[in-house]
Amino acid sequence: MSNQLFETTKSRIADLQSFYFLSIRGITGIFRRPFYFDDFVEQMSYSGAGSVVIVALVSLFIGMALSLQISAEFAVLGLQMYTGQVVGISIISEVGPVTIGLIYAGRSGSGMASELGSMILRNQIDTFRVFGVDPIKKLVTPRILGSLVMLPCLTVIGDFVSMLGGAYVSAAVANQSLTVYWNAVHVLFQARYVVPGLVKPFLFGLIISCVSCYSGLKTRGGAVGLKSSTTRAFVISTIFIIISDFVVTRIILVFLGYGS
Amino acid sequence: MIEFENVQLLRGDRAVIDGMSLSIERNERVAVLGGSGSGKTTILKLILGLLQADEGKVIVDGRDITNLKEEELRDTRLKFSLTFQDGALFDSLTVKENVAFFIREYMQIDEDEIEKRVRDRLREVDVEEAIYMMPEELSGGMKRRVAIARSLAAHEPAMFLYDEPTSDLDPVNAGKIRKLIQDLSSGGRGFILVTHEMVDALKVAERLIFIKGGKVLFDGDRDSFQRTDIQEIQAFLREARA
Repeated sequence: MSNQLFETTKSRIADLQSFYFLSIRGITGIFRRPFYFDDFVEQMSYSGAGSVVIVALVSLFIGMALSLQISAEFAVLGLQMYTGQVVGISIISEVGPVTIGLIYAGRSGSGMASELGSMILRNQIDTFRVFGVDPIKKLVTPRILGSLVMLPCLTVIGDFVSMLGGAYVSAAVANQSLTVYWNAVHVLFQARYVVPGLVKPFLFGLIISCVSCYSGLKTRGGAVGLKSSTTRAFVISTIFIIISDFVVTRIILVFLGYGS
Repeated sequence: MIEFENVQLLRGDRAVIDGMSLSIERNERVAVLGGSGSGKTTILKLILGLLQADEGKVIVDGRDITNLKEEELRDTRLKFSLTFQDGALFDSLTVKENVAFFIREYMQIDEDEIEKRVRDRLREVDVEEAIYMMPEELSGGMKRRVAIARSLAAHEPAMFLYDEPTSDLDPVNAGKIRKLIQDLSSGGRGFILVTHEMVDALKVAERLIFIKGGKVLFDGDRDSFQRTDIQEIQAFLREARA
């Protein structure tokens, strides 16, 4: 029993160590030759441009739902003029980055894991190695870099669409003036709201790409193994996103002088 | 020259390669035979440093590669051409792009020259007509020939490594692959052919190594292989003749 526990612990530590090394090599690959610019562009296209529609659609309805809920509650208290502000804070600081991070993990992260997993199973990764091409540099680095660039862009787009949705509901359903709504949103352009909203997508992009690539490259055992690695990539990314969201929010607020 | 010195490779508690020692010259035509799961493919992966031995040494051209890092293995790997069982072609690329893949990686040459090189290599393996096809449109034999063309496109290997090159092929295509293996080694370049197809081993190889449970049971020429009284080999030969 204790021997089994020891072996499991040893295996988990070894896993963590390999994840760490893969991530470091993937990130430092950004600064080492050769640069695979075409692969980077392809990743931006697949992960970023390819996700715009789903991000916009989900963000629109989240903004509308938030606005609907908040304006209804605030109407009771006579605080409708603050609807835009509360919707904006929620979206920019929290809901936007986290939701879009989760969408990205589900769509692009799972895609990375399944693609790399499939390449492992078909010996394509070993083919790179046999030909002297570093598969981490060729496959992992462009995915990390693509995520670092595209997830913040998607988040900005999603935030904007969410606030548009919120404005529409606020005006059409809650009969609030659009001027009042946008004036309230305008108040949000302060470091305490904007900084977390901009920092988190970079961190989430890094987490999702590293976890997904690692999970894909660890695929073993055919179709079932591929299913497991894809699921694992999404589940671990989700957990890390939620935990790091709390940690980063806390750190930034303390750093900006708003925390105790 | 490739040397294994008491090599052991474990997978969990099981020894995939169990204290193996052997030596293969570059110009030798060697077939490694054995049943499924006997450790045949693992030998190829150890030679290229795709797997690291837990014990013992793997030496290539006098250099101990057992514990080298990925980037230190590059020169050793480029001495070989490895063809995987399924070809391991990149399935989102055409045949042309597959063959050109490593040319683009290593050489700064214009598109016309790349196309010429690709066509030359595909012609060499008799599959030029498939240049614009996708891997999924190719037969098993064509995939393997394209994979061989790809391995020849960017550099001149000193030795060929084949992993089950004729498995799941019809007799005609298997024959074409065997002829290709012989043609490519006609210039004095050797090969290691990992297979469980007795006919491949007997038709193209001069030296046969039979392994079971990660251990070498037999290492010798064709005639002595067919005359050996090792029970496992006799059973293997009986099944092949049946």
